[in-house]
Amino acid sequence: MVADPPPPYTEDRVTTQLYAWIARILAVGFWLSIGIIVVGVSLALLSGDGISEETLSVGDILPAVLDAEADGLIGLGILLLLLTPLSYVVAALVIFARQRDRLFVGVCLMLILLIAASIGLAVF
Amino acid sequence: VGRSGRLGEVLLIGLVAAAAGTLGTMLGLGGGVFLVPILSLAFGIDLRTVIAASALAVVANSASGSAVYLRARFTSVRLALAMQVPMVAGALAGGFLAVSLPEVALKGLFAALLYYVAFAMRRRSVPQVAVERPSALNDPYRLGGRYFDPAVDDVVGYVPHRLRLGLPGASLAGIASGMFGIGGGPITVPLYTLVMRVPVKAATSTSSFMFGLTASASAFIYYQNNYVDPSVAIPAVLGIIGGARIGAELTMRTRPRRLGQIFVFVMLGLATSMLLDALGVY
Repeated sequence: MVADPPPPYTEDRVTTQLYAWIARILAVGFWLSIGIIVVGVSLALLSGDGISEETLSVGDILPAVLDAEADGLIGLGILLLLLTPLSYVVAALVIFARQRDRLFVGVCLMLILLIAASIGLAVF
Repeated sequence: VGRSGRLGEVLLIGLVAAAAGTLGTMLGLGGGVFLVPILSLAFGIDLRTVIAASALAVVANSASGSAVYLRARFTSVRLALAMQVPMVAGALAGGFLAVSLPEVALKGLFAALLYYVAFAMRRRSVPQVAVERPSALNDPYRLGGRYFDPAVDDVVGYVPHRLRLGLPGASLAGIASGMFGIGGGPITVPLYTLVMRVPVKAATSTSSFMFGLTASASAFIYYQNNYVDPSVAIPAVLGIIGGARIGAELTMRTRPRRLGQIFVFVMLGLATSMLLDALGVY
């Protein structure tokens, strides 16, 4: 692991905040999704069904989670993992908007639009 | 193919993924370039199922590995965000290509990618970049950065050059990532270091940071087209992230300088097997 370096130069508060938010979102998203997946896999193995070979469709995930079904938890974990990078873009959008950094608000909006397209268009 | 009953195969996929993650991290390639051909060739799993699993592993690996580089400021978030626009657009195109091309064509193209990676691994001389202090004059979009590099015990500053080549180049990396479920390091790292004159530490950290969002774009497409098979994807994800941790530790302790030259042959072997498989000879 890389040791925390001494503060080598001063940076503005906004940059510090941007980096801190993104690092936090990635860590929380990662551990939350892996945790849910591991619980789901444990349930699947304990029930004797084994790990399923298919994911539930997005609409079926929530009811399955409420029924504490292994497939539901596995699907939820996978979706949370996939939504983690998008979440940091949304956070960055908020920070850039507060700064009135029009260029990077545009960059973040384009990224959100592209991911939305990959979620939306994939259905067809 | 009933994999669900066979816990043994799930564990074996996890072990292969761990080995791929360890080796891929030590070579700076990520695990996908090893994992995808091995699972496809040796386990006979449908190529798109393997690619989808690898894409999920890339998202997880990027999320788990980026925090430490963000804290050290090796990663330039603004540069990553800007480069991700063409890269994610490319990944969308790549994902759609992967689900619509015949599997034979996809195998042939993957073989071509592996030959390219083997070729790129041959020369691993690290380009030296002149240190530049980013300012409002030379870096109007604030894409550059400054970080403390323990290797030289000094602050390194840099400004990315030639955005007009870099941005379109990122879309190519995105197509490869979306199509093959890899991060794209064999394309983005040379793009950053050779074309845009970004120092290696910033190039590798900013690249691996970008792979998460990029791979998530194509992973959504695979998910909706039912190519995400949890009995393959979950051991792949857990194996790759475990292996990446081991690989990072080993890289700290050893100097894997000659490793690249040795594994050129492994890569050529995988590329040729994949090609023969595509041609129906294998």
